[in-house]
Amino acid sequence: MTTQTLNKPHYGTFTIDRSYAHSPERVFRAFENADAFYRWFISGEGWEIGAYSHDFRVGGRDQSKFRPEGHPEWFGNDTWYLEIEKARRIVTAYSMSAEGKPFSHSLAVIELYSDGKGGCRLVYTEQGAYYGDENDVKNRRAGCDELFGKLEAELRDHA
Amino acid sequence: MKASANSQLHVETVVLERSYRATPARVFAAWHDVEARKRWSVPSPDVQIVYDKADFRVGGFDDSRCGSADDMRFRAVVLYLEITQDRRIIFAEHVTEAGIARAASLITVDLTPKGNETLLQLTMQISSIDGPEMLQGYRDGWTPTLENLAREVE
Repeated sequence: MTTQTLNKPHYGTFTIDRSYAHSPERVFRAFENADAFYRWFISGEGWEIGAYSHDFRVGGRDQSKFRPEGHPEWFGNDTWYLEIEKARRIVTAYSMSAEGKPFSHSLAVIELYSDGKGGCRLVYTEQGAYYGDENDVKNRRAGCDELFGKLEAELRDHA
Repeated sequence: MKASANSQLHVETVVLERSYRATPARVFAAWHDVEARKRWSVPSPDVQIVYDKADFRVGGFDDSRCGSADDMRFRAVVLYLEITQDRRIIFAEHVTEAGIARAASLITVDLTPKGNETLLQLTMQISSIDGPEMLQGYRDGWTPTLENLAREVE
């Protein structure tokens, strides 16, 4: 990662499409509410959290630091909100870093739709510039998929 | 293409390239300096641009409006994610038209010295909201703009 600014990033796009039994309004609240967002997006078993702030408004910035327990270096996530349409669409840009050095920059669009049966369809689309290897997009997709699984548990376990 | 069957997004990655008879530092400066950008970043002379805010640093936002003089219907909010001096700029952009969200994009400007020239690679990862029109809009907007940049730096 030390020469990352000399390397060119590579580019990728992926989409995750999920259904939840809860309404778009309820799913939106899990993004909006700082405590709920911490539970499903930030914290996780085996992870140490070094910092967390949530500023859910257009132009606002979230910052978090985290690492696997015992891991020597901190990872960072800086997220900026570009558009928030309640229960409908959230557009963010975010950078991921290791020890302060960015290793990816992404645009993320979260679309929420009613499924007509009281539930919600969530479509997550990420377009990113990645500085790692050819597995970056696959790994990022898998990480996001895991988070959207945790969102399901959040919706089930909390009001 | 549609991001997925259930999505209202059309996504595409568009790459434009242009070489300039100028140093990477000169080309970088034309992006850095908002006064220079006002000169070259509009696609045609009848399009005007006004910056309500310009903050060229990582985490900084630009906020600009553009359109014809009597109808500045487009607003672009730009967030800088990476700035590597004379080498690379990565920013996210969110575009509204008359208050309606039209597109978001992640844009990489990559500068590579080639002899006495600088190769600029513009990689635009575009999400067009509610119809694919903005995918073509980005191509149509940036192609003449990169030509204008030649007049600015050469």
